[in-house]
Amino acid sequence: MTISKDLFLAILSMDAYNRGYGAGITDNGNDDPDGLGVSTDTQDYFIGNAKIIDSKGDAEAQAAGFYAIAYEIEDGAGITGLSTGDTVISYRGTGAMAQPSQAG
Amino acid sequence: MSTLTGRPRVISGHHSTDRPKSLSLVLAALVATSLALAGCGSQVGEWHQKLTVTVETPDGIKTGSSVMAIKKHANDSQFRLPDARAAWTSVRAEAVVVEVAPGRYLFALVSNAGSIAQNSFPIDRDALPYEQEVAAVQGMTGVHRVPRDAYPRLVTFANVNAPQSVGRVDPDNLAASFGPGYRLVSITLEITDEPITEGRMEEVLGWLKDLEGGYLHGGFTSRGAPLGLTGLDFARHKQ
Repeated sequence: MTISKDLFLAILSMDAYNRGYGAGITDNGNDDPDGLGVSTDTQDYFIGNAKIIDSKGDAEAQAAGFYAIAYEIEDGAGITGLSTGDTVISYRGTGAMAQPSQAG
Repeated sequence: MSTLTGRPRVISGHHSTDRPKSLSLVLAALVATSLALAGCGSQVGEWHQKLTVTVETPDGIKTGSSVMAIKKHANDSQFRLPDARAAWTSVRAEAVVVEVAPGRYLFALVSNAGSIAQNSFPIDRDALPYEQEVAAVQGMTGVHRVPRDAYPRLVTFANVNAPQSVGRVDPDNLAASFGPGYRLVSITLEITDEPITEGRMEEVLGWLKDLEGGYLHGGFTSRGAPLGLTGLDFARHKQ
């Protein structure tokens, strides 16, 4: 089964809100803020065919209310319009959630 | 400049009348008030919590504690669009550190400090509005075990002076990190009036202050940073 590029990019754009500091969806799990059974923004974890390769959520980013995460497409055959090796960057700016001391 | 005559006038291309001008002022005030209300987040509650880690070692029981300050905020103004409403947590905390052997330390990070109370205390979160949930946490008494799935992240350093030597510690297998005879006995949490713990992290991790909340490898992003950790996972001094 293949999905469209637009749909997959939409999923990844939402994924940025549920990883790293101030993740919107949290559960009881250790290192599992999105409830999907994977870690936060640790490298080499996957969402679908996208592997997390980088992120920006340190104190500097938090002070600006910014968070970004980068993925690399591991298998473009499943996504129409994306190719293996493509890099996708998803980012958010969250005013109220931009507390520099936020956690949990 | 407009004059008030009670008749509509066109001034600089704008249609102006007495009533519309008054109405405009009222509307402007309402909009300003709405925006002000919409932009304000209110503090729902705050507390101090004491997290304690107890470890069995070949030399006996070792414990470490850290008192953390938690503040819960919400912005659920009816003037905000539903998607723009939010609740968030601010934390002032240091990791718990246990010196399990001379020069060997176990750290329980602060990454989930803002939610650990709600996940550890016997509170029916689904049945309570957010404000009551926070109030229930504030009123909690006694020492409670943190459930396994709410444990903070545990790490150690092969060399405490080398941030990149950090490694994950399996709470179910401390021996893998520290050797035979080491076992995690418990992680507990209690609400307390004690002052927050400050300065202990910088004592143990001499490099932490210079890191200024950045990634442990000193890079701009997390790529190559061990475990993706930043200095904020060990200490958050602002709230």
